[in-house]
Amino acid sequence: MQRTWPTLLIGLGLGVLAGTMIGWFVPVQDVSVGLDKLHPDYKADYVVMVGAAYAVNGDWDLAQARLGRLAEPDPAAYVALLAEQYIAEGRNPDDIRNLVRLAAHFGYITPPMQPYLQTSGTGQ
Amino acid sequence: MLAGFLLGLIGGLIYAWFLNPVKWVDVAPDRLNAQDQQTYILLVSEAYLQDFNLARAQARLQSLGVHDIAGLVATQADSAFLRGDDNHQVYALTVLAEALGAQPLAAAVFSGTAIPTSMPPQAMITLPPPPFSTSTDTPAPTPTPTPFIAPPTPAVPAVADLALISLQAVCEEGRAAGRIEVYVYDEMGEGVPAVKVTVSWGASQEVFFTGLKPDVNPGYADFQMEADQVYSVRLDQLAEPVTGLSGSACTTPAGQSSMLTYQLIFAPPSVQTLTPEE
Repeated sequence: MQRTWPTLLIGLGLGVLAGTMIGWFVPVQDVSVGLDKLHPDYKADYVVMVGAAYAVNGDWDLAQARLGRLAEPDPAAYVALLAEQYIAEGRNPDDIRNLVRLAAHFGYITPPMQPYLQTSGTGQ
Repeated sequence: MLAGFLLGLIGGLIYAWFLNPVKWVDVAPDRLNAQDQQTYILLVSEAYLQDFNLARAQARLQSLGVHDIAGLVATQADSAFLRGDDNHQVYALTVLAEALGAQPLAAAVFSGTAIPTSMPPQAMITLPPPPFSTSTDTPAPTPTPTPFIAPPTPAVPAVADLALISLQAVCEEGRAAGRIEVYVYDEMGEGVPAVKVTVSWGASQEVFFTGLKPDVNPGYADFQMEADQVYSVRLDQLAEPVTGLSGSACTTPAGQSSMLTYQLIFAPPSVQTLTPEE
């Protein structure tokens, strides 16, 4: 009888641990998330695609709405920082141009962006 | 031990499922909710229109964790097309779906590979008064066209020139009354979806597409008339308009009051006889 309670508690603890792990890895509710929860790398690629789409359709309102979905506190600064990061890392020039195009429309033009700004345009 | 374990298991599940469910952060696109996945797919297709880098588009779509990415994009293209979404977006989705090897319904109108055909000269066909009409109808004046902004360079369906090969006015029991039923067939006698149909009456018009009721026929579309209006039907730039379709009252063979239903069949002139399948 004296060993009953410790055994029960050990079993209880193991059970709680197992139940929690199982519950988290096999959820019953919809745990899908929004674009604001994307990994930073995917967020960056998303912004590049927004820039590419803007280059094709010239719809600035739509581009802004799409950037807003990322829930960044300052989308303009985020895009400008991303553009400078891509420039510093020597990324795909077309991606950089798409980012610079967005940043320029927000009013962010820095010296590293200048070469890419001269070869980019807005709209179609 | 076992009893404790089972109790703990239940408690752990309750905690993980309802009290503190998992919240994902820093996810890949496969964890996005359905609506945001569609936004993502649309962006991939619009980005594809800039560089036509198919490998990159495929890599982006594969992050969704779906096996059939071509089918996924085609399904979204067709949904957007049937909803009447923005033409740019439908075009982007359709072009990417085709590049991935799919054949979306929307490709009949928004294909990135179709070559525009020359347009036949337009003429007006005015119908004689319907035989079942019980009232005298004066021909409607030519409707004033509603200003219509054409979509950007849509591809014309690769269908031979169409002509009205059959027009029947029907008044019978057990059949929907007061409808304009349009059937469009190709030279093989197959129903053609995604053909734009414009119905005009007075100063109004409505645009829709064949194929929205595939259970009837892939080339079928219908429109509900109102009584005492006179309608004209035009297949966009592919056939001569048909005018004088009147929402007239009629009497069925069983003596019931009803409204005329018109059945219009469009097909290449080389096709002589066709019977719509319902």
